[in-house]
Amino acid sequence: MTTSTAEVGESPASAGPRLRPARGRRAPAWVRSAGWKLLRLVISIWAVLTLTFLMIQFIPGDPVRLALGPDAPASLVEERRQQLGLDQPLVAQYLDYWGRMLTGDFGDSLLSQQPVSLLVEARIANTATIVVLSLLATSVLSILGGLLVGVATHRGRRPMLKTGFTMATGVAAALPDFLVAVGLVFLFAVTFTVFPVAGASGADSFVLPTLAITLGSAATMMRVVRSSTAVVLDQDYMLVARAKRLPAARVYLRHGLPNLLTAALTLGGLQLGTVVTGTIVVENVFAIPGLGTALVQALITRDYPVVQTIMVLLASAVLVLNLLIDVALGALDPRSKRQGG
Amino acid sequence: MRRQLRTVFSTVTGSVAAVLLVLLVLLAIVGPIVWSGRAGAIDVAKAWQPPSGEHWFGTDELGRDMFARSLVATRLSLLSAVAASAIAIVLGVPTGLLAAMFGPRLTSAFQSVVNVAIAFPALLTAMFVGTVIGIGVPGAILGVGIALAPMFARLTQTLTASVVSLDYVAAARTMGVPLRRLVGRHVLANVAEPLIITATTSVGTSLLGISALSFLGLGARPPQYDWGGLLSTGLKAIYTSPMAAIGPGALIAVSGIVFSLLGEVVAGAFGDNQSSRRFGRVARAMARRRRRAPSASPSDFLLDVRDLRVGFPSENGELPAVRGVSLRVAAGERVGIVGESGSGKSVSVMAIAQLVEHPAVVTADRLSFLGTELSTMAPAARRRFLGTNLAMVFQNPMSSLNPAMRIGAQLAEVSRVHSGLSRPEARARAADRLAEVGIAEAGHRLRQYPHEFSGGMRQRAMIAMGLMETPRLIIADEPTTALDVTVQRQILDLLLAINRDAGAAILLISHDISVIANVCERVVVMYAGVVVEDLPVASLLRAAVHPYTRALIASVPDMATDRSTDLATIPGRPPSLDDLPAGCPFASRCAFATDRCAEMPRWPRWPTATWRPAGTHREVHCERWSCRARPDRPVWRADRRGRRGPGRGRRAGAGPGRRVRVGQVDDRPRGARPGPVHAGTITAGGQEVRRLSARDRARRVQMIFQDPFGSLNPRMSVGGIIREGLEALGELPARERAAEVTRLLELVSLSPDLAQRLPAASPAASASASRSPAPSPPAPACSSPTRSPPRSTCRCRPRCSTCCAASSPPNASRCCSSPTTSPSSATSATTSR
Repeated sequence: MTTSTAEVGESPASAGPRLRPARGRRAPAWVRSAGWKLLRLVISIWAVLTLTFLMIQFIPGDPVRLALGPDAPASLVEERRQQLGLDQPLVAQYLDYWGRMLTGDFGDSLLSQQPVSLLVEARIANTATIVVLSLLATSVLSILGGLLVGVATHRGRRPMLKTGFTMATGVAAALPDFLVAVGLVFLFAVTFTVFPVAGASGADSFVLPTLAITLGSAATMMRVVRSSTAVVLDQDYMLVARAKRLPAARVYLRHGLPNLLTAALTLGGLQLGTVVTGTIVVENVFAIPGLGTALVQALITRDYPVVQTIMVLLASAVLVLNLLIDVALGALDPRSKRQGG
Repeated sequence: MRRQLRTVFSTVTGSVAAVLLVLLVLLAIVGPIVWSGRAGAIDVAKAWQPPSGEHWFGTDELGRDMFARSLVATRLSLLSAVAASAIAIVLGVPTGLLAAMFGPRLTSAFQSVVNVAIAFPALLTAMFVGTVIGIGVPGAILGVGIALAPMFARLTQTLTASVVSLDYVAAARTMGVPLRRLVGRHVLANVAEPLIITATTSVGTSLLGISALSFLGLGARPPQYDWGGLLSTGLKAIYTSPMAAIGPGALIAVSGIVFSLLGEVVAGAFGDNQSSRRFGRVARAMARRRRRAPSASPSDFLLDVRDLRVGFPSENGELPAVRGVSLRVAAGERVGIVGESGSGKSVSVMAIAQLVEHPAVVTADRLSFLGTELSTMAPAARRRFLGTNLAMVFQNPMSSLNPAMRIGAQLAEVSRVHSGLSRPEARARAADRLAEVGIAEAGHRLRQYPHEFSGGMRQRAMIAMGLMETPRLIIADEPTTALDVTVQRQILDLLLAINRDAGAAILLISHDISVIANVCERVVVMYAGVVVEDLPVASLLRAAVHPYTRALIASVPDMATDRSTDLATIPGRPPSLDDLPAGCPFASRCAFATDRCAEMPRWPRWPTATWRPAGTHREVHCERWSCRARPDRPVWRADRRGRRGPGRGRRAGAGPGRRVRVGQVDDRPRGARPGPVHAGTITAGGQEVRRLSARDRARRVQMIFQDPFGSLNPRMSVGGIIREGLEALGELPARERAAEVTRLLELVSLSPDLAQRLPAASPAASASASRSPAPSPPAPACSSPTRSPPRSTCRCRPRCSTCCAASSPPNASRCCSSPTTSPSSATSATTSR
């Protein structure tokens, strides 16, 4: 990701080693780099908004008739059409859509006639809790586990550990989150009744959903971290660090970690995006009133304003997360920082 | 493909996965035929029954048998997954191919779009598509297909770009191979393998994606059902009849695991661990081997090594990389170790420096440094002792510095760890050492990162790092091999100055005997893990007795070497470590070998013999090929990484103008290579190159590239590669081409049998040279042709003019009658600006 954006973002004059600081006029490299990243985020969010707007236009036939079903009276269909603004010309609809989205007015639900913003307000906290907890758990587990196993199995050491690790993470990564969630429901509903398996009644009701998302994504990330560790440990500069006779902790944490994080984030950053969508599935299994359950309900009932809003929110969350990863990469890897990635 | 199948079945995991896959496919075929009757039989009286002998997975809300339904659903689940992957491939692969083949501008626009698309979660994309075309199986398939397409697009693009930038594609282009053939034969053939692996895993990904959609009620809807749908049905009854959920769930899990395991096995994820039983046995036996107690008597030498042995475990037993090396270095002495690659010289010094890693095993009778035996020291004490007294400089300065740390921090940490200096003190010392090795504005340089340094400066920084403490010995392992000749000299001078001023002894390793002769007082010649000769440099020319030493001396070209004779080369290759002869390891390549050599375990004084270079006399006629560019502007527009923009070339490492000029002959832009000529003209045979058709240009100018392995397509036979050039030129009738291939191979001293072999099995540089067919006199433009092969294979072909780009003046002067110096601003610019 960094290389490509470096090519888009860089400007010719930033090249070449410079002994003295840049002379006047030009903003420092990190400002330009952050600027480019923000611009990319804005363009991406614009694309998401436009696509979700066009979604209704793309639907063949009459979307409102599809949503309300063949039995709905024609007057009601017409009323909802006007409510959605579908009787307006396309450009007017688009401008109106932008105006509403920017002011936080997401329209009214086709079914309940409640403002979508109320629905979002009521449910966003649950979803955000699950996403943030899963992201934290995934990052901590995968970096610690991957680094430890990577160092322990480097250059054919402990072949049994490596085989076991590869098998275990392979299986865990191949299990989709909804399956893990169902398995957890089975375990904790039928066998142990330690954690609640449905609803969002207290802090402990988030344990199982977080676990369901984390298992697969942490396994995938842990593999990425382990293989990045293996690659980084084989680099010449790691040999040099050992030749400088630095203590082992310093060799692995000061010299190894930043480099392997760069590699692991570049490869595994996308994995973190799937954590956000994992919540859609997992909320449904554990019957948690969040954005995911609302989205699936709205998709089945064709409640377009709700679908649009939640899609935009979740997509923006993913895009912002990617921006954060990019910024982290820039901070870790001085080369990408210079070149405005 | 056959190779992949073998890989799959060679591991237990692979076999299990393959068998399970076959079972799944069989189930998908017969399942609906056999069980659809039972699966559809409604019996409301038996709704939600727990598992029983009759209904293994229980029944659903209409009393239908969940087991039969799970088996029947296999077909829909698998077929939708395959369909979704097919959609992803059809959409993604051509897009990626187009983006990579047509110019850097399109590529970077493509990359920014695809990077956003790929970061966008597949589930949301699939839901979006489902909303538009309606909830159901087609919506789910199309949704997942579209969601996975960017992954294929990016994979294809990066793979293609990496192949396109390889020399063999450039070589095929220079030969005028048509685009259609270029894509099919050279590009697609070489990117197919990873794409197939990804396609395998993507069937699994699609299966899970579609199952997730169906599970949420957004995929298959009644009366259709797949595993995901069945799972959500089963979940409703999880308290009473858990098997209804576990059954389909297990099927989803097994198929997901099967596809991901298959992908991994094919990709070789299980192949790289050296955990075979035999390997483990050898490694354990080596580790158990009793360590000889090192001799206790103190040594007067700075470094005293006796009978050093290093072995690596392998499938075929122990590989003895170093077989009893003894070495002594006095305080302040400059000693060089010379030998071909694989002679064990690097491994020896790594073992001396206690840097040889698992699973290699090191033993020695004595390994004493500064009078202290290293092998018996406690690790913590040894770390401090070596950290302050021993400095190392490695071969590749580009990769030896940590790219994520500032130069200052990398230098300062040495003294902070070993001398306990405070941050400012360590920093001041670092600035002082940088200045000492000749880096100007040291204070500012400390704040920079390694990528802001040129190659020569990085090597200086490495040396400065070694000087942070007060080393008594500096081990320099090929410190100048990766550098340009002009910079080489500076680095060697710096080492000499340190030896003179600080009194540190120097142990210099090089494969170039002339480098050692320039720097060292004594030279140790290594071959196949043993020392074959150890003598003062002053008497190298006079007193060297081992034929290998003499061969090394004879193969050094200098400006005075007679251009009309062939370079002396050493025929043959060093013996491989798992098949070492009992006697002199050099005997099989030695012109003076007698029966005694096969027995002699050590090297007594050899009878002096007159050493004469072998080979035939060949007349070479060279003529300069005109190549002009405006001197006030750099000819290159891109640095090594191929980014465009004026002024970029200034900082490129090794004077790219040289290579670019030659590369301009193929004046189309390619992936990671310089753009077209933007100033000046290139003429060949009186005509401007740019105006010529691909075929005419190929007739006039041919390229021999720097890296022989990169310039031959690994998937084509040597004969096929040469024949392709002849076809592109279209000069010979088809039936005469085979004979011409034979003739060309013989011309470069290769056996005609090689025509059937793949390049991996042939002396690559020679084969590369022979590919430029010679109808009318062409001008082969060489770009450092001899840099990577150990001995010179550069032998100019008769009757053609050559333009040879080489970083070493003796090499250029051997080939060419009038060497031109490229205005190399690379090294001076970075230091002076």
